[in-house]
Amino acid sequence: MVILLTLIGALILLDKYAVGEFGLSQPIVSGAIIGALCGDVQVGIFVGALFQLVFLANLPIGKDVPPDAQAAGIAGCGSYFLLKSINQNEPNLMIVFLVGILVSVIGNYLDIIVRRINEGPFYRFLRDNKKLYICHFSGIVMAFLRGVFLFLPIFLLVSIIRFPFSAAAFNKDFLLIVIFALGIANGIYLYLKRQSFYFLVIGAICALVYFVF
Amino acid sequence: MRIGLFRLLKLFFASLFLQSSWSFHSMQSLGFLVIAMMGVDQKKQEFLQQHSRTFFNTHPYMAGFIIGAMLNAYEKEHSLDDLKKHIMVSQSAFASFGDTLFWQTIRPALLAIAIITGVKYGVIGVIIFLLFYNLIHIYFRFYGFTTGYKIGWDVIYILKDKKLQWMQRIFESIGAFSIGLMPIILEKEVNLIFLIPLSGIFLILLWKRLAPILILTFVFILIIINLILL
Repeated sequence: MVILLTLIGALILLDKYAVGEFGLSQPIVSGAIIGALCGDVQVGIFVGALFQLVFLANLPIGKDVPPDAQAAGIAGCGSYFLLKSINQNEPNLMIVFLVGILVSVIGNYLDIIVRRINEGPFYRFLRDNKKLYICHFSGIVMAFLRGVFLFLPIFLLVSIIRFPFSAAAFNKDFLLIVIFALGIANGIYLYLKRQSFYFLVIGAICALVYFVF
Repeated sequence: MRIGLFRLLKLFFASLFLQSSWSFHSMQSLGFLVIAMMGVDQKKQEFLQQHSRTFFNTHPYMAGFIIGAMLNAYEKEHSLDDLKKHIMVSQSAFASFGDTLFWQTIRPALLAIAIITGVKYGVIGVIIFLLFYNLIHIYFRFYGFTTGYKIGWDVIYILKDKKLQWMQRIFESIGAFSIGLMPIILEKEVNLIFLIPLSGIFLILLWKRLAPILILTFVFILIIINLILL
């Protein structure tokens, strides 16, 4: 299962920027894909949605390389189902969250390394312009390998280490509140402008009505 | 001027790999050249390979506008200096517009809808996101190549188009509404007392442009405090 999750994760991660950018690597989508493969789409979507909320305002603008939200979503969902298959009960969401955040930071560094390695093929092309296609498409191989090097050790560790936290000693609701608060703050940060403020208020009133009735 | 269906499909397919070899030094230069090669005939490819090693970086969905205009200028035999000058100007304009329209507006708005519908109703939320997001960006890729090729370097004025500004405003409104509606995902039994103050604190941290890693550290501190208090 570790190898399978690693390969699927690395393939999905190609969509981040190397191939297509169809949105398949967004945490909520990758969560649904991994969930479907592991037999529970709904849980996959839920875990993916949590990571999506955390990284909603994570904008890859210009040269900026933000924490790897896509890798975090894949690692988080993969870890969830891996822990579930080992323990045969509901995994601790805190561990899943920790794994995802750790991967987002490591993924960010690996991303920078891969982008530096990609300079090699560019200079090779400058020396020999007949190698354009080889030099360009070697970037896809590098992006795939980045995914493999990122997910394989993480999934192996998750499957080997026995975590000391018991599910009972952890307040799942509080983690959800914190993640949702971060998601809402991300959203407000993106959309708080004069013309869209009213829509934010209308949405909040609708939510309030839902909770009251 | 019309681009031709076969050539358009070749350009579109190549544009999916624009960022494959993205590097800090050359950015999308190789991807740009690969796409441009798809748009010219065999004889001109070698010339293009030797003389179009220009620095290139723009928004991936908006690159078609520039490449289409470049092919137009190339066929009209504009000078290489002229081509490079126009590419330099238009790439930053399209990059800035594309970042705001797609990364900052359309994608988060559709993702917010996907989160609400996905958590509440399952896979339908993810399908809605994939369907609308891909329809929009695939349309932009095709529209970019055809329009750029048709009107040449004047394509930059498309950024002033009212329709695009309206599109941005509509998605901003949808995004804002969805964010306001977001708490409905949480179950009614969950104690929401901390939601508003925590959102406020996170918002202040985001406005202060604190590094994402520091915000995540703050999340961990909150969770550890909660674990200790339990």
